[in-house]
Amino acid sequence: MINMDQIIQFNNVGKKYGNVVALNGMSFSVSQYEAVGLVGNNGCGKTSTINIMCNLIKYNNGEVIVFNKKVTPLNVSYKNKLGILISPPVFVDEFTPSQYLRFVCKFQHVDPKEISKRIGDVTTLFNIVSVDKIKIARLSAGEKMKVALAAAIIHNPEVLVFDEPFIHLDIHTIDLLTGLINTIRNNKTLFITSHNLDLIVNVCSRFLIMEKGRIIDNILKEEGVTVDMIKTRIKEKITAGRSENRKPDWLS
Amino acid sequence: MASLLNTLKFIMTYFRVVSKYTLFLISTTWIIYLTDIKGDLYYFLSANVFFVNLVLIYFLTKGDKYLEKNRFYLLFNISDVNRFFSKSILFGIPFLMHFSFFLLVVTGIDYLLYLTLLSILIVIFSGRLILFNNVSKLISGIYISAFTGFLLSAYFVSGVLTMIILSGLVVLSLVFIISRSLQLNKND
Repeated sequence: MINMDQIIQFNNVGKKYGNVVALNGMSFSVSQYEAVGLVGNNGCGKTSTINIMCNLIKYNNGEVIVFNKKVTPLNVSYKNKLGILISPPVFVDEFTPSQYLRFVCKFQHVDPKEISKRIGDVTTLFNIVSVDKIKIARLSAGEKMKVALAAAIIHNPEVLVFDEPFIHLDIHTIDLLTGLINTIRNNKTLFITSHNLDLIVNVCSRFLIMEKGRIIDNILKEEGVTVDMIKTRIKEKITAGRSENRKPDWLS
Repeated sequence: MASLLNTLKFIMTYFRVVSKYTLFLISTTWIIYLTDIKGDLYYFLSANVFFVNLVLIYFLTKGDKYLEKNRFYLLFNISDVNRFFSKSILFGIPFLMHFSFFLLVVTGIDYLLYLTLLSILIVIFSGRLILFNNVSKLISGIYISAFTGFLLSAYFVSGVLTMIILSGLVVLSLVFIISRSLQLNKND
């Protein structure tokens, strides 16, 4: 059922890769201007959730609604409203950052008169060096991540969908990104996954805890609840029922 | 959905960056067919140039496979149809130059046979487009086989006028399919 107040809705969504169940009755919704963090252990289905949301993979059952339209292979027009950073990030390795960003602008329908200005602005913002000289393939992992972030925001999307945006980034860029998200989040909807609780707790207002392909808890950042309390609660949920890993005898 | 024009610009830039020398080679070597070398050497050279270029063009068309695998095309809604058109323009023009000059100048085949072969190529091309529009492989296979058989039998039993009418029909069906594909793109 379509709820007009919600920008993203997952209703009982299932996804299988062969015999492996990635999502098992996944249900949640995201309202406009909300900043939602999806957290969970490795293999719990976070990346599959993002990929389905962005129409990069098909789901097997249930219903996904984004911008009040059911997500199907033919419904792709909504993706221009998303600023997508998937993991691992996608590039055209043979292009320079500026060549790549220019095409991203064209594909995302940025006004041609504005393209050069926007490329200049985002490359300055993320301090991307050698914009015109070095191919993306030869950049460091951190530099590549900056190019991916620049590509995700260059068309000024309504919703930012980031899968692990903080990996490979240096301290300065992490500060910059968290600051940027905090600055623009009143006008944007944010859906983000990360294993870095310190960072995700700083930028999100609600947290979906995921385990074995479904949401097991929903934590709201409320008044009187400190960041440490939220982190403790998330950690308790994620590690609940897990036995302590024993160190191998040979590892001294 | 990324527009056809932007997809074409992207495909051209991409292949220019990754394989500019090969592109240059396939775009210029058809001149060999028009040289004034006499004897077996001419046929030997021309045949080699033609087949080497066919192989090069085939592998070049696969040169962006990794962008499919890493989901770049999916991420930016670059449709299969637009990519197919763009690659057809980029590689189709040099291919047609080689195809036409090799058959007409080097082998000196009857122009009706040339027209038949060209029409069959157009049928295969349009059949591929039908496939993109989610019509079953069976229908596409029947379409290609029927038209190819039709054109070949027309060549063997009839004259110029029939061939021209049939080729016209093929081109018309192609125009219809292209306009339908563009319409589908627009609706997306």
